[in-house]
Amino acid sequence: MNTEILGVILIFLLSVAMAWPLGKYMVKVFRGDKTWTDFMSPLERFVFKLSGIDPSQPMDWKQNLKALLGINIFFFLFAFLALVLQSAHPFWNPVGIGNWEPTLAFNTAVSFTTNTNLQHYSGETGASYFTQLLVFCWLQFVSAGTGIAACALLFQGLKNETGSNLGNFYNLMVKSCTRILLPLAIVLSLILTINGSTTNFEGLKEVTTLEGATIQVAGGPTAPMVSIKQLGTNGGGYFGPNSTHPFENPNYLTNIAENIAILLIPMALVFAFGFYLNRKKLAMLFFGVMSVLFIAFVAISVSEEMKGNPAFTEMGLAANQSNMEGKEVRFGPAASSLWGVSTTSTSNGSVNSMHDSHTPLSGGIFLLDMFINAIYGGVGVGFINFFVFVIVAVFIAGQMIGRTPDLLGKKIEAREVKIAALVVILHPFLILVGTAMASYGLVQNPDYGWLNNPSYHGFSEMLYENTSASANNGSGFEGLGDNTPFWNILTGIIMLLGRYLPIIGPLAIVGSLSAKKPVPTTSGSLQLDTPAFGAVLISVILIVAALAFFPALALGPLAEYFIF
Amino acid sequence: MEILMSISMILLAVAIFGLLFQSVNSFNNLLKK
Repeated sequence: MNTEILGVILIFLLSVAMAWPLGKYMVKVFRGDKTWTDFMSPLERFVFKLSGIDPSQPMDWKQNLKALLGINIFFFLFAFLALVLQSAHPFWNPVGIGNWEPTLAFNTAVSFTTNTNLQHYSGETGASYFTQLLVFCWLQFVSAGTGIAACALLFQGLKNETGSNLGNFYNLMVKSCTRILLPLAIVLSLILTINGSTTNFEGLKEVTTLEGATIQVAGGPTAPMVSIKQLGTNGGGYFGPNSTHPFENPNYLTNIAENIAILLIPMALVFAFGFYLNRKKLAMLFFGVMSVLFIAFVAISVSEEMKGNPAFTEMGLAANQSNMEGKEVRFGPAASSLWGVSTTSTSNGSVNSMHDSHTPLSGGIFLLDMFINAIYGGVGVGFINFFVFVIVAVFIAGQMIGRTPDLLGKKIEAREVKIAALVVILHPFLILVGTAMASYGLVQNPDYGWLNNPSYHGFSEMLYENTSASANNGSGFEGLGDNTPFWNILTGIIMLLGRYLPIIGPLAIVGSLSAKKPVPTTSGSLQLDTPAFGAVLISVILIVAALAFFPALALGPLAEYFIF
Repeated sequence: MEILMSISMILLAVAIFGLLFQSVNSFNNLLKK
């Protein structure tokens, strides 16, 4: 077998093998059981004392959500002020980088607060070491912690027999950072540093090239930021080219480690669901549904990229070459495709190849991944998005076979389905309205000059940007001049709504389910952990996610594929 | 101009967060019906 394909299989299998024990460990953290990371307790107590929070206080879904939103406003304001006043930072700005333009600061502060990490700037020229470490790196921890904590609240709500206590958001968020993200980030950071990622504060270095020219090369504390950007499904790179840059992703080994890091926590949370609720069979079914879609998407993308670009053959260039445009030779087309599917499935957003240069079907798969936004998904929120599809599937399956829909012993009624439907509709609404506004603006004012590509590909670039913002992914199709007030404000608004409403809706649903009395399981109850329900679930995901976007896909990547 | 724009951006974000807080109450009302 081709060694590139073997590499892809190895990365997937290693991710699954590592996610299983991590899922078990995460459940212990959520429950407050004894773990080997108990030595972090003094740090956690210090944080709670400093902020005047009682981590043992029971909270219902409304109190938890208000806590989540309140702390996230603080994150935004801190990041925004740090960016617009960057030149005033007292230290860690050796090159003297200046203040940020307000709309770019708004977009970036929202982007890092919402775990999106859409970057309309270049890190090495736009951000000081202070900004990179104390704003971006810190936000990558706490925004990921926010997602994991929200998922843990969902687990508790589903586990409750009757009662409104979902746990304490603050406690779960801090412990997610100190006991899950931080230890893993230290290990990955060491792997990256040993393999050549920079970890210094030396500013620009003068280097003489092979041709004898002198250039300045930016270094900096890259490895710590890259490790959390992958583990927290953030994707905010230290350098503009993200993980294509040799200091962010030096070789194939670091590529394996980073790709595993992208998938690890989202996969582990699916297993954690099974351990937390003692429903391992159902968790395996969910994992199976996600994996069927993931593997199918990887297979399509890898095969398209390895087949290559027929336009090159027509031009008389070497035939039977894989599509290497926009890719790093040290990774190759298969590992680049796996990364592309991993990063768009998990709302990570880091890239090790230029997605704009992938073949149309491969680019379409990346879009589809973000439309669904629940194949493993972002840390915490991916499972929450998947839960909404489960509610819809349970309701539809219940209607189809004439049984009262119930989920884990709790009756699902019209009010829960209404909220689930609103959340499902929100994602296409934000993406399609945003793309329509951008398309209209461009047609009315062709001199805007956003697009580097005309026609179908240009449409895909605008569609991708809005999709990436709504899915809180953060990757870019590139080819789009996105640092303009229009794009900064539009995607900023989309990121805020696309992040918090899909957390608020599902937590409201579990809050409602949690307070209900359980209904006894009888032969008339809908069995969820069966292959038949798995098939219904896949159908619901594909119908809801894919069909809502089919016209847009037809105008972009599909049209491009047929003229390819 | 930069200061005015910065204040506008902060107000925009605060307004959206305000809407999100309100949505918690709206979902709560929907569930009570």
